[in-house]
Amino acid sequence: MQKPIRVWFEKTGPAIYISHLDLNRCMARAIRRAKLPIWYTEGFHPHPYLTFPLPLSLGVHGLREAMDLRLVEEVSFDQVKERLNRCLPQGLVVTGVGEPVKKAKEIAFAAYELTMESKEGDAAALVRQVLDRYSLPVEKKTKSGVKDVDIRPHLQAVSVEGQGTRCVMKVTLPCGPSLSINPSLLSKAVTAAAGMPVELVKTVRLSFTDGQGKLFE
Amino acid sequence: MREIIERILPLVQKPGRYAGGEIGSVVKRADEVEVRFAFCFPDTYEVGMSHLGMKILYGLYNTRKEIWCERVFAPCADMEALMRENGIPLFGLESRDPIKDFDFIGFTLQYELSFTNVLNMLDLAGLPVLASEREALSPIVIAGGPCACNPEPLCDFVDLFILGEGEEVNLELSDLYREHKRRGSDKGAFLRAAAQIPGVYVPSLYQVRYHPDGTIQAVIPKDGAPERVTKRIIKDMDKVYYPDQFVVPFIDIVHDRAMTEVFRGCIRGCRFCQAGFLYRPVREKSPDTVCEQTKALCEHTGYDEVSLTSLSTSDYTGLSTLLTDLLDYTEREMVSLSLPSLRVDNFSPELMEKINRVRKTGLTFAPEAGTQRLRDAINKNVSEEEILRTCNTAFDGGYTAVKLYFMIGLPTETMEDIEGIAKLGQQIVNLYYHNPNKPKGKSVAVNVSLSSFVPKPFTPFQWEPQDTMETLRQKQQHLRESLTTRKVQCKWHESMTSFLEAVFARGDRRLGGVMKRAWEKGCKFDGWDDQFLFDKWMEAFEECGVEPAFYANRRRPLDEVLPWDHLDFGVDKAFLIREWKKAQESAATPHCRKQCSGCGANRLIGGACFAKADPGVV
Repeated sequence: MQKPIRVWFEKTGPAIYISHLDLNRCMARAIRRAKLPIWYTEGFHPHPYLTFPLPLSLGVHGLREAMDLRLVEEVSFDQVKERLNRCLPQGLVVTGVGEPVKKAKEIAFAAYELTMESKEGDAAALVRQVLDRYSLPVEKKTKSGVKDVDIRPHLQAVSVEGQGTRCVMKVTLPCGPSLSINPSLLSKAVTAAAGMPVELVKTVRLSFTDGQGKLFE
Repeated sequence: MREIIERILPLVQKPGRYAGGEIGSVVKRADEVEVRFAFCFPDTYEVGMSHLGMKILYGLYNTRKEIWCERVFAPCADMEALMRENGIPLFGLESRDPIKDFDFIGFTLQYELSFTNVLNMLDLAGLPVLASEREALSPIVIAGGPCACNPEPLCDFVDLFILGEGEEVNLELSDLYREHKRRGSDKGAFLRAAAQIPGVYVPSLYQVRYHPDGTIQAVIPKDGAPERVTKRIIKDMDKVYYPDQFVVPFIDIVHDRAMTEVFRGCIRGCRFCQAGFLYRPVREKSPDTVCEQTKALCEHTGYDEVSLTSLSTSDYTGLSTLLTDLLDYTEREMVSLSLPSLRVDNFSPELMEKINRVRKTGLTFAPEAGTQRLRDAINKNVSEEEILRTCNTAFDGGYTAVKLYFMIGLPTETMEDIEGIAKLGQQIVNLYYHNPNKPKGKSVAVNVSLSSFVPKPFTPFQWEPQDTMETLRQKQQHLRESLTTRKVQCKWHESMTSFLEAVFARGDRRLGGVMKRAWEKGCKFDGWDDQFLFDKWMEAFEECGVEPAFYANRRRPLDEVLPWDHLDFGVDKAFLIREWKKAQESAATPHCRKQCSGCGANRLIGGACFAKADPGVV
């Protein structure tokens, strides 16, 4: 038997410093500690089969992250959640377990909450002013070299709130195979447009959605 | 402070080194403990987290309700710069509290080239590096580990040293400290009392007098400190504490696996090997204990790899029983088992078959010297025949690569011995091509790793000069010229780092000033080739008027007072002299199970040496 399951989890606190590669190992160890009957690859060096539909960058908080694995024995979703939660390090919490509904390649957008800081003056006003512009050009490093992209048309569901030197921006960014915009690229664009440093002090990925804007399940 | 730490973590390489929060890390409430202990490893997180001694003592301390032990590593250059810039003092990974407010700051001294990191970490903590300038009772700066066997170069900086194995003495010291803290004692009173605990060496209670030629005349204790400080030792390895949980790192570290210690000490007595003398006598754990401890560790950590560690794991008397029991478990649970420190003289096809059931990696052996004469002189009791037979066994089993460790600059070594390394490599290559069972269509790789010999205290070579850097380079060059095949690949370490290691290994208190000066000039992470600043070190020696060759390249007479003579590691000086003489005659000494050589270490455990051969079998 091989039953695919999708584990939903939060990655916050000290766990934000676990890189994607390290997360794989960290989860594999937690699964071993939890004695979950996970499917191992069949090769020269068998290893527990784990995939993450959308990797999360180092230092970014995630509130609805996904991990796919396969079980070789029947274990209820509640049991998987409970047993894993007993074995995960601080900052990693399983919030739900279910059957994978959509495929990883269907993911097209991710919603973020970005805390930004500008040492000089009203951060919210500054960021709003920048966002009112028609274009936000920025240099983006791609596999084929550095190129200029205008990210303004790709920002969706933007809102900015806050007082003083800090503000919180909510934004949905593309993260599909054809185009992907990283929040740090956005803050770079904002800094360039504002002409003064706007520092991204906290990045939270809230959820991800498919091409129609429907929640990835 | 915590917020600034959070702010800088995203800016550094591998923030997982400083973030804490790993499975197995212990978080207590600061207001519920009496003693806060900062366990400092003076190297990077990746190196320090691989060290077994730290895992044992971290676990042990934290079993005590009144103690909270935290981990501290040397921050890398990027982190150090940001910490200094933002005024963040060195902190414990668990609480992120500054360690300058802790009760103990304890360093483990694993290699001499980490000494400057001790100074740098004290400075980063916001403390004076000189012990004499830290006047308050706390923090008390302590140090232990193998390099504490000659702690003299660090006496200016460290308040007290722990000699030998730490499981008992550390807790005794902590108990004594609690008493003094409650009483409101001053630092001096505490140190004088601590010096009465066996295994505790308080350097400020000893005065060193020198002869005009720079050698030591005498070391004189004061305030009731003992004339000789004897190392501590654990008698029963089945009863001593062993952790059932490790801190499991998020980032990749050097040895990222569970480890079970199978015994302490070594029966072999290789004359160059300091550990082989420092940890005498041999004390084994029973196979049952090892098996249980291994299972517990795998289950609590989730590791899928475990190694059975010791100075020479194939000498473990219970190895066969243990492997039979353990392999059932490890195979079922998909855990791979590794056996480091194998010897060529007892590497049997059966043993290889057992290892092969788990995972096939490269094989590594350490002949140490290229000719039988020199191997006899250093008492590495393996014959050429055994080396070749082992390689053949390995080739039969499908291996195509062997790694061989050698040393150059060994006492009594000649150029003929250097050529012997090349010859041995060639013989192994030939052996492969003559082996009918070798893997089809594959080439062989013999990787030779060369290190430069560093004479160490408490070994029969403690009186020997180290080869000068120039001689070592000539020998390396000669080996390069002696090699006639590309199937043998050679790698060696820089002789400059070995030179500095030799200076500090047998140094005395006058090196403290040099070390401080070198550190002020920016020397740290000296064990890292990319960060080692040899010229700065030479400037520091010159400015302090200290001649490094006096320590590294001088032959000491057998009756000279050595800087560590007032410390007792159980091995009699008379025994070391006997062994030194045999080395000059290239005469080997049988291992402890064949015949007791009367080293004297058994008096530490009450006379009965566990390695002692059964009189009926000798």
